[in-house]
Amino acid sequence: MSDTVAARTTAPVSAWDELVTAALLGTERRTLPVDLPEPVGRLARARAERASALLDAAAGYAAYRHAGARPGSAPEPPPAPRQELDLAPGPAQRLLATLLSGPDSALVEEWLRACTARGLGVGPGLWAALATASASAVGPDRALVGAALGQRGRAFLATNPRWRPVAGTEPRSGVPARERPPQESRSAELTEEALVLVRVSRSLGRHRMVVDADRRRLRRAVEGADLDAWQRHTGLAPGPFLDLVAADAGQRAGDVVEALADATVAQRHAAWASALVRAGHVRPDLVGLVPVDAWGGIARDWVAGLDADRAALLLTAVPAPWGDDVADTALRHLASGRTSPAASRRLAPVLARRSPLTVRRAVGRLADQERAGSGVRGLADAEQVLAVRADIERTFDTPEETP
Amino acid sequence: MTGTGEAWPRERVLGLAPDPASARAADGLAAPSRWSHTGRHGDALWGSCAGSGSRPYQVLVDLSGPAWSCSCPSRKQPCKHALGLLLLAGDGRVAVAPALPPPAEAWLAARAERAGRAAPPAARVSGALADPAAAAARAARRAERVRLGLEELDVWLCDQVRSGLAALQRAGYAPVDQMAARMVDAQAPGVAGLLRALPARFVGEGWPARTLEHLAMLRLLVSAHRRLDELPADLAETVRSRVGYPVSRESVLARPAVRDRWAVLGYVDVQDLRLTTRRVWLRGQATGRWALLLSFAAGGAVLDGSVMPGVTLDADVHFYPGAGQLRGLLGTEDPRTGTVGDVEGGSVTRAAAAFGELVVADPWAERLPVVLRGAPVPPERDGGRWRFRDVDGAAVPLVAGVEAWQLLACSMGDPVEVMGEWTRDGFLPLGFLPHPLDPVFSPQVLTG
Repeated sequence: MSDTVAARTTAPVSAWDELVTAALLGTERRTLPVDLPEPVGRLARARAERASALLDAAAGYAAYRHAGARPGSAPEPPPAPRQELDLAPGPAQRLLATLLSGPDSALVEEWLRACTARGLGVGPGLWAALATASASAVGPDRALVGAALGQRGRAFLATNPRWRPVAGTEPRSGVPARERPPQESRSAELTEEALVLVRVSRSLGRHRMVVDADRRRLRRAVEGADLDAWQRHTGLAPGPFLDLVAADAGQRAGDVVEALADATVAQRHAAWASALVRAGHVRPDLVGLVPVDAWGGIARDWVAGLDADRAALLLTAVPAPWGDDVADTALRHLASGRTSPAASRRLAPVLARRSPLTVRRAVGRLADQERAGSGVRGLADAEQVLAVRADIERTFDTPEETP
Repeated sequence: MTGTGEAWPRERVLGLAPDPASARAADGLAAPSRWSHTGRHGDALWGSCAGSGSRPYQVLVDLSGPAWSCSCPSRKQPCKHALGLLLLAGDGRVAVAPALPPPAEAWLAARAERAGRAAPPAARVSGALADPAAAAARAARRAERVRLGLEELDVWLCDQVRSGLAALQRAGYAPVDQMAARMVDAQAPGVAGLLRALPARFVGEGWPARTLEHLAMLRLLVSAHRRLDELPADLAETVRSRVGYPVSRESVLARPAVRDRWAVLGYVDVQDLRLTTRRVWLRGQATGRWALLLSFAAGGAVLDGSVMPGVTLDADVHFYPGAGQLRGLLGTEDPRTGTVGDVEGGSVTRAAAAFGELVVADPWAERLPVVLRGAPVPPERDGGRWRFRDVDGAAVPLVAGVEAWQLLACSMGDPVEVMGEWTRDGFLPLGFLPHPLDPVFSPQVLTG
């Protein structure tokens, strides 16, 4: 307690320092201070041998220092904002504590969504754990965390440099492309290229095309295109446009579609991404970027025509939250028995985290089949995850305990 | 512990958890959706818990032990499933059954049979000495061995100061451990424990002063032991206790009891090599007196979780002999427990004075339980120490290395009541007292 607790007078402290120095160097090399205050000096003088004298004097000092210690002081901390949120019920908060101790930030996010949807907040006992989880690269969404902490909780985050990025909901490095701000670097040159494409595409419906631009220029042009303007110019919605391309045997027309499938502008555009996925461009990165509201029926259509394991892989890329159609497709896919155990193990946990809770009974049946020795894998764990998700809802609806 | 058949409060259940992760995992399992075929009958609880295995785990708990059995592969004792079942029962979600199911009946019968085989002879239970003369001779032999051991220690202590603490620090653990082993041989386990704590003083800013103080207190113990017969009785008992002379449980329970309603305000588990020590702090609501219940567990054994923070007990406490002694044993106890209400915290200045009084009574005292009212203050620079500031502006540093983020979250500058240990190295918060903002209580494990 040396930094804020001082001894009664200045003199004993300096004598103590001299004793420490003598002990550090050794009494063979250093003599004891001669001006030790009483009664410590008397303790030292009672021993002829230096080492014993030093230890006895130090014992006297130690008792003196601790028996007579006086506290220091600290400035008053600045006032914190009041908490504007009511707290989630105790059982729900205990469940959050459990979820935070596990690796599954998707379940933590589900808890946070359930919490913020009810206009409730997290109790301060979990702020530190939640902040630590959210500060990591794979932690729960920071905006959700900030909302569930409330203004007082966000002020708490600001007290720790490691958590300040969470308080400011700054993006972490390595976030998926769709979370990055859109690129606005459309140069005049690229706009011109895009206009070439518009002319090309306008002709597509009338006769087979020869496209002048090379593939690289084509890709740059597509990436820089304003797809809405394009659609207005061609008068063709994305689906019919791609149908026309599919009917075209020209190599360049195929290049146009490939360029579109690779283009961020198309991937971010609900209608274009959906049309591309429907047209069979079902790479996981593209699938993952199709807006949630564009998923009606897409999965069902293309899963049927794909190799079982590839379909399972693509289903895992469908972003949360899944609607009934995607969940049903995944369930039927797993139940078909065509999926390999490895693919099944990958798809089942995704199904458990992204599907509506209405799949719980069907997953339970598949889990029973797994326990009975069927080829399906991962459903027993999925059943557990769904049980936790059901607990999240249940605990929020449990009345607060009486203390 | 008596078998009352009552469900346990949450704090008591979590007190059994072998680590914080188990406590959190058990919380996740305390939901009816995870369980089937649950029931309770007398002190027995049972249920099937769905896990990641192909078959549900079969869990049995005997509250009277407590004891548990689970078919899961976990090596932790108790496992999260047993804890989850206890929490479930504590929430009133395990129905009373008219009879035990056959597996529970068989397990309890086997336990009863083992307990019968392990029962000690009646004379040992009553505390009666079979041969007082032989016991006195053993005590004399022990005293002589301790004396010889402490004389050796005195020479060693002087050697360290003679050659310099810098050399001791460079040498590290080995010579200290060697001397600690010698003290164990000399039947002075208390001194051995003090020695084993010495290398922890070799690090950080100000290490020479801390090391010198530690050595000096050991030297003081040696000197006091030499004059054991001349010391006041209370102080002599303190010295004997610090050296590690055994005090039988029976002799403590034979001392006068302090009857009070004791509020259990805090606890801490300290891990030292293979031994875990649990300190549970109680404060008498009428007497204002503090009591310390110690329990130990080695080799993965379970710490006593029968008395945990948040409850009040109407009980006798028998204190160990010695000046400034806070350690006690629970005697007669009313099985009905209550919950801790509001506790008024004191000032930093008053706590410092109280620790000073304790040091006067027991110069080797290491900690004093206190309840402070105030707020934690984070360090102003990286690597600095946290402080605890009371409402008057007086502050005490927290023990080096302790970060009180959770406490700060609950306070955010507003005063809160915090129970903790006032030590020679600063204040060690063990938990904030029932606070309306936060229903979550976290068990704490420190590594000594």
